[in-house]
Amino acid sequence: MNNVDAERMREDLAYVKEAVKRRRAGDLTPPSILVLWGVICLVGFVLNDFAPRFSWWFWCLVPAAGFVLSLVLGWRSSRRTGEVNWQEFRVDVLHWAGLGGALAVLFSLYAVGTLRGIGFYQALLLVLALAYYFAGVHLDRAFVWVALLLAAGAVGFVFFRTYLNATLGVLICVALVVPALMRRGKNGSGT
Amino acid sequence: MARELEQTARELQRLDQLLQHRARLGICVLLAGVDRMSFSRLKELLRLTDGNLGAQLRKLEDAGYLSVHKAFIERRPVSWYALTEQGTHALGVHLAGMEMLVKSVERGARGGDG
Repeated sequence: MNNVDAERMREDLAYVKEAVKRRRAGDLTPPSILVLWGVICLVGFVLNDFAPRFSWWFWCLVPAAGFVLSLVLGWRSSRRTGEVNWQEFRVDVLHWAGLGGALAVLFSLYAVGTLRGIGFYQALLLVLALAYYFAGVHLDRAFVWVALLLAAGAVGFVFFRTYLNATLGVLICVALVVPALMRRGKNGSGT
Repeated sequence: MARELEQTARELQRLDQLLQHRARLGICVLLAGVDRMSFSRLKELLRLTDGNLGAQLRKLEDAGYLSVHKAFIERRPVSWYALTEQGTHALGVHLAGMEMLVKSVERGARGGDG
């Protein structure tokens, strides 16, 4: 093996590395899922301020349906993109199911009276913020902004409460829909 | 020096002839990271023409490194490719051989400099 062969091998490896890099760059949450959760958060948080009676039912039912719908949208998107990766799918499902488990524990603590009032709500926002932060670090950078907004919301409730939920809902919706629109523009598709 | 040459020769023998083509190597590396990938996705990532990619895929398929599954998505035919167990093993051996070769060349170059 001479230096020319070694150079060719390096070029081949660089070519393969570029292809892998391109694959990873496209490995993001489908825009349809970001828009779905943007709308869920907008409606849910606005209900918290303007119709708290309905918000309880909304948060009990809609996120679970949104989770199932996200699985369907994710599966359809991966088929359209031309990549099926069960390992990544499993990681995504375990991450968000973990959040579901943590929320179930929080609601149980609320039900038995350990956590009450604004403290319960702040804990809820912090758990959501942490889940979105880890999703931002490990799955998709777009979620980091949502995590920061949720954490800011949890702290913000110490100082003021008027329309803070509605404001938070609008900002989270923007933080999710903007990257979705950017990705849609880049890909030229709605997947 | 003689020992190094012997080692390089051994590593060269470990290299898979079929995977010495960059497109075929790229196909196998990409498929190693997923369960399956479509023809059009491979074409997009590797920046190859239909004819070239099709020919390289056929060679890998004939060697038993790939399996192909044809399906319809939104009424359009899609060919899905997956790395077989044999392909995964061949890729592992080939990459290990390449790594050793690059290292031995680098060692040789350092020896030549000094």
